[in-house]
Amino acid sequence: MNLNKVRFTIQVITFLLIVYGGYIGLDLGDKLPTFACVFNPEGTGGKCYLGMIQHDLDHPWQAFLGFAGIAFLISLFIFVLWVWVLNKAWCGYVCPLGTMQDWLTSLRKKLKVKFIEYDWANRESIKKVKWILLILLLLLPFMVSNSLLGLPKLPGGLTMPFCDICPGRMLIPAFVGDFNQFYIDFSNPTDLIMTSLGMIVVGLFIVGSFFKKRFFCYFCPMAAFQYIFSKQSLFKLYKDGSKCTKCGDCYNACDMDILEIADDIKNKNLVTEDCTLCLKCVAACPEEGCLEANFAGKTIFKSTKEGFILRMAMNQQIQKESNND
Amino acid sequence: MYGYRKTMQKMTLVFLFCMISVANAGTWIEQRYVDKSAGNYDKELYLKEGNFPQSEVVENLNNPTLLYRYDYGEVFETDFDHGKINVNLPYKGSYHLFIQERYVEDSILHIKMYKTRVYNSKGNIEDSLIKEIRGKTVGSHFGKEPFEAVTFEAVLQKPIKQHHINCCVYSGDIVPIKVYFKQKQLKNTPIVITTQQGWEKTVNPDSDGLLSFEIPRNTYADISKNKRFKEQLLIEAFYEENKSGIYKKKPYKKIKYYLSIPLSFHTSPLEYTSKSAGFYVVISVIAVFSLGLYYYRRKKKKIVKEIWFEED
Amino acid sequence: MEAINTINTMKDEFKNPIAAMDAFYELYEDVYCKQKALHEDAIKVGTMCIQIPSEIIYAFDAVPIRLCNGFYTDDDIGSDLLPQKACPLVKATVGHFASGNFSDKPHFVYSPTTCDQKTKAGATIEGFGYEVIDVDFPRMKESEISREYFRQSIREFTVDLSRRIGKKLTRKRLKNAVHKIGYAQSLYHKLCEYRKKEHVTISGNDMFFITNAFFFDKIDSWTEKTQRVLEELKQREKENITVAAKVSPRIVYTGSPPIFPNYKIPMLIEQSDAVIVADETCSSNRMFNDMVAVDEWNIYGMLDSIADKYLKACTCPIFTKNDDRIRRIIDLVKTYSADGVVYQAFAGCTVYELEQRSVLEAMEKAGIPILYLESDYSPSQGGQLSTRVEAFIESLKMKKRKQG
Repeated sequence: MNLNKVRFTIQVITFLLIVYGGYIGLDLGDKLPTFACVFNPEGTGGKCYLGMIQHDLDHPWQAFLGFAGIAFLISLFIFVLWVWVLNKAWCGYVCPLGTMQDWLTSLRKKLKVKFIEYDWANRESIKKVKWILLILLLLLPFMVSNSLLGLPKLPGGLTMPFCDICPGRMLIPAFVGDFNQFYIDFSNPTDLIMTSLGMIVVGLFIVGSFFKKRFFCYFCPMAAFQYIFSKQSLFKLYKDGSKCTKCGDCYNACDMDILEIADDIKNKNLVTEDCTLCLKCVAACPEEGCLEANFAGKTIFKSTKEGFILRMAMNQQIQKESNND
Repeated sequence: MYGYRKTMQKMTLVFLFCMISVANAGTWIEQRYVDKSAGNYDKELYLKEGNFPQSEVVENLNNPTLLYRYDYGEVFETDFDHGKINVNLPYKGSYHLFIQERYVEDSILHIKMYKTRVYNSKGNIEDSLIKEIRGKTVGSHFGKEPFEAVTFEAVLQKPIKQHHINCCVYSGDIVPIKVYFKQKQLKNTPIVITTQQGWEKTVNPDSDGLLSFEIPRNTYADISKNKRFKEQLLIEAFYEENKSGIYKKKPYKKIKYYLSIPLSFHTSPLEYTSKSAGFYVVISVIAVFSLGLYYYRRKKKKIVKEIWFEED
Repeated sequence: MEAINTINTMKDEFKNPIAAMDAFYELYEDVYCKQKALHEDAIKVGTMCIQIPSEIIYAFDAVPIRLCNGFYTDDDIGSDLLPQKACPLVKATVGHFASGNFSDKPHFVYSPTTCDQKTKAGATIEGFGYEVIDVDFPRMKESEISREYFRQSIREFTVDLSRRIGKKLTRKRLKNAVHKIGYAQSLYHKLCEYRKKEHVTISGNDMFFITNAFFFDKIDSWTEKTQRVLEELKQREKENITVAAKVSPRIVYTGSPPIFPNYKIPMLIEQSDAVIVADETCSSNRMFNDMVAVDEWNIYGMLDSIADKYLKACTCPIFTKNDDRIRRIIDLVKTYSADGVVYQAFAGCTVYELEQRSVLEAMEKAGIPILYLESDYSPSQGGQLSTRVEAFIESLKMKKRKQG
């Protein structure tokens, strides 16, 4: 099957559902593991869990001993259930920010501009940023209501620190015609810094995703959060190391430049922390049965020689060009 | 028949004017936060009366009933007497609370409703379990259907705004209101708005019966120290009906309805945020980085120029 | 002489020959016995090793000619120029340049720095008046530096080639070249499907003939001939014509490449009533096995994909570690249901000889019978080798009969 076409279609459908779903009454709940932005209240088809968890953590710790604590655990559990359904494919097929980045990448391909690749050392250090962002977004709201380790309580502007810098807040409402989120708040230093950072992040997002495939996904704390629960998920990516010739085609196709998919021949489960389960690697693998996308024990997409030949269009004989001798 | 209706309307209007000029006394519900311990807040509701914003706690009420409607539509009804309103809200979420007072005076039955919106952050875990699992996307506080248990009601519609905040009401926003009598919209009943500074205004409905007013900006407040200045205003609505009957062994010839809704608002964020600054930052970041990359690539290209030239 | 002998052996001594193979035999006769030139006017780019990408050469409308040689006469000539104990293949190649009797003479030669002998041979060949350009090839393939190094090296190669030919590389031509070679590789894979089956319809030696022809043949006529072979194989499968008996052991052949006419050992194996179902050599399987996968069909994407494929998928023993080769052999044994492996190294080929220990150990661990042979081009070795080969195949046959 032509993975590019299928993926494009699915991404468009989920983008419409997540960004405009509210208009037709769609409501998937407020614990989604994808960026369905709160700041698009009428159109959104769900709410991103990162927004909710920041809001939930902004209570004094005593509140967690009562009703609020149980509500928090229930929310977390529902989130984990969502992650177990689609694993990281939320990133590759559903996330509207991911879809926007893929559209920018197609634009770049049409303009025949070469993409950027990070070298391995940089990639390793960049990977850590998403964990730092995750820890900050969990810790800062908590420190607004509580004083930790004798530090003073943080100012109110930091109750939703990630929402302030998230590019989804500015870009997703823009698709409904609401450009009100592009602002800088001069009322106090905290808000000034956070909203300026937000504007800078949006600019970097647009430029970065144009030149680097899935630029933002390296820094996304949602990916880090999902990865914690990813191992038990139903949707898996399996590799049979004995069939691998280490040709590196999967690495070539990978948007996130994950080395392990090509070089790791020992592990069976190859969903790494960066992986968006876009399945481009499975489509690019020429060995029969080496890479496999598996949902609840059933193979839904396997790498085959026939499939590879069809996708790379190697099955037709090219007619002799007239200027050939 | 038609001529009779017209005279009735004229008389109602005359009465309303009298009411407004004679007395400014109103009654409304006030919400207070009480600090229980270590940042744990509890909400307390009091019924106040007076010339807005001066007020005192109401001590005695005539035949009061307390109704509240949960966001999803469930209705509760309890009794209460005076002073602090005893509310035991079962679920977590938003409620519309009505205190209804009825008494007959001078052969006129007065039916007074005091409405407010309460948010309950605690709840009963067993009842709330399903609702918590289901989760709710941002529901709107505005534009709800009128409450069947309440005869005379005013419902706030979605405010029209220029800024980015979606949850609350701010100065400069235009708030549309629809007034309902027995769940049918009244098309020609005005409402009165009173602010904390004592400024008041009568708002007349437009051709569709929609009452809109812009929340005034408080030019006296010193917002340089506190840009998120919070204020209140009071919305009051009146209506009369010519109907006779007996209430608690007292006869009456007319029914007068009164509704009060207190509304809190902050200073408009447009005063301290700047959209153009935001756009400039975004555009300049994009320009700087893309030009930087372009020049960097041109520098690197010089070795393998022949290859790169024919991307056709 | 050798050429015609080999061809005739192929035609006469094996059962159920394939009619469509006659076209290939004719090709070999034309080129090696009658010295017929196939590529009259095209620019012929000689390559010393498999690592020079043919896709790029075809994109310039030039023709890649693989210069690895298999003739004993040339080996003899080369022995005077190179040390006696050197690899016979390199000696034969150098000797061929010394004698200069090419049917299609290369305009210039690209030599990647793979094994020691080929690296040094470049300078000797230059002495005969040929232009030899060295192409950097890394000895490791796991590290980031070596991968970047080879990508740069391929870019330098492309620029150098385009300067010499005087043409610019265009996206369409490169894309067509990738597809052309991909198509040829897909045909090879279709052929291999027939070898996986229980009743083998094509012998290993015929496969060597077909793949070896890719070294010097016009690619369009090669694909045509191969398609005819495929059609015939389909027919043969229906009619259940096989080239080997049911108890014939299935062999995986690996090691130093058998180049025409040095098919001594494969022919020995098949004459002893075994059948070669798969091979892991750079003159046959390795050229066709890995296809180039491109993510973005622009020049930058295609060049990088080509460079990556020629480096990362390469199982040449010149690399520091050979785990990939061992896994490949074990995978071939499993996929083609082979009974044993024959590992043949040229006497003088340091790298293949050094690898034999680790390969033998791995095969023992996996429980796969393996025979290690050393040979060279001289015709006198026949007797010793045949004894060992026949003994090995007999033992496999007994094992197979026992299993029933």
